[in-house]
Amino acid sequence: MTNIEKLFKALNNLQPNYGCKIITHESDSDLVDEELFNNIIWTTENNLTWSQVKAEMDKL
Amino acid sequence: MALIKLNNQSYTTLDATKLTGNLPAISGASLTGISGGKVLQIQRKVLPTTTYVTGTSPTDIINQTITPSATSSYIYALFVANYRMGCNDNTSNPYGNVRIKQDSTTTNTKADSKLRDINSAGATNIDRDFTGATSAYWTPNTTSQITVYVTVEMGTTTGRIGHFGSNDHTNATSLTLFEIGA
Repeated sequence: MTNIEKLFKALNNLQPNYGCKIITHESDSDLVDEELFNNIIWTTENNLTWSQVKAEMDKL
Repeated sequence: MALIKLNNQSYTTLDATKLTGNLPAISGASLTGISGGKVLQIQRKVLPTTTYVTGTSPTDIINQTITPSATSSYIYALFVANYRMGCNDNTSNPYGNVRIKQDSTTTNTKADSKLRDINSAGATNIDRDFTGATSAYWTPNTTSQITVYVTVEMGTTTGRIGHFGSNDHTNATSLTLFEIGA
């Protein structure tokens, strides 16, 4: 599973029915880090932090 | 043979077949008898980075401006996409819409493409990649700048579409606007 896939699944697990636009890093489109998370454009309310999401990703 | 030079005078009976060699530049506005349908300008943008959208809200992924030179001009918008569909919960089939819109991300739709993939019901960790295109042809009836948007929205929050940018595949996804003379 790619890191991007893990990110979407982690977000779905923690915050179902979310909506957002994710623009990947220019140099590595599968790189998911705090910078990418902070640049997510949310179309629904978001109450998650990067540490929560990272912890959920690590379980997948 | 001697040449006759016309200084700032009009010549209304010149036979076009007598014109040879290096001809002077002539303004397009002075030409007649030319039918419409000519490409007057092209504006193009390539998606630089792969961009994913999930959720049911229309979300702009790429846009491009163009300023028509005449109110009678048409705009031909061509969105060519290389995209990936996936689900966020391992059980749902992703589906959604890609739309071309003018001056709005929510209304004024000029083209609507429906996307659906049967890839994930009962399966896990499956993404599938596609290529396709959506186009629209209309007259904005203005000489002011317009912005053409491509928006993505999913049918459910459990699906996602990622459009590949040039950071993954060169020129994979692009929006090209042609101004066509009436």
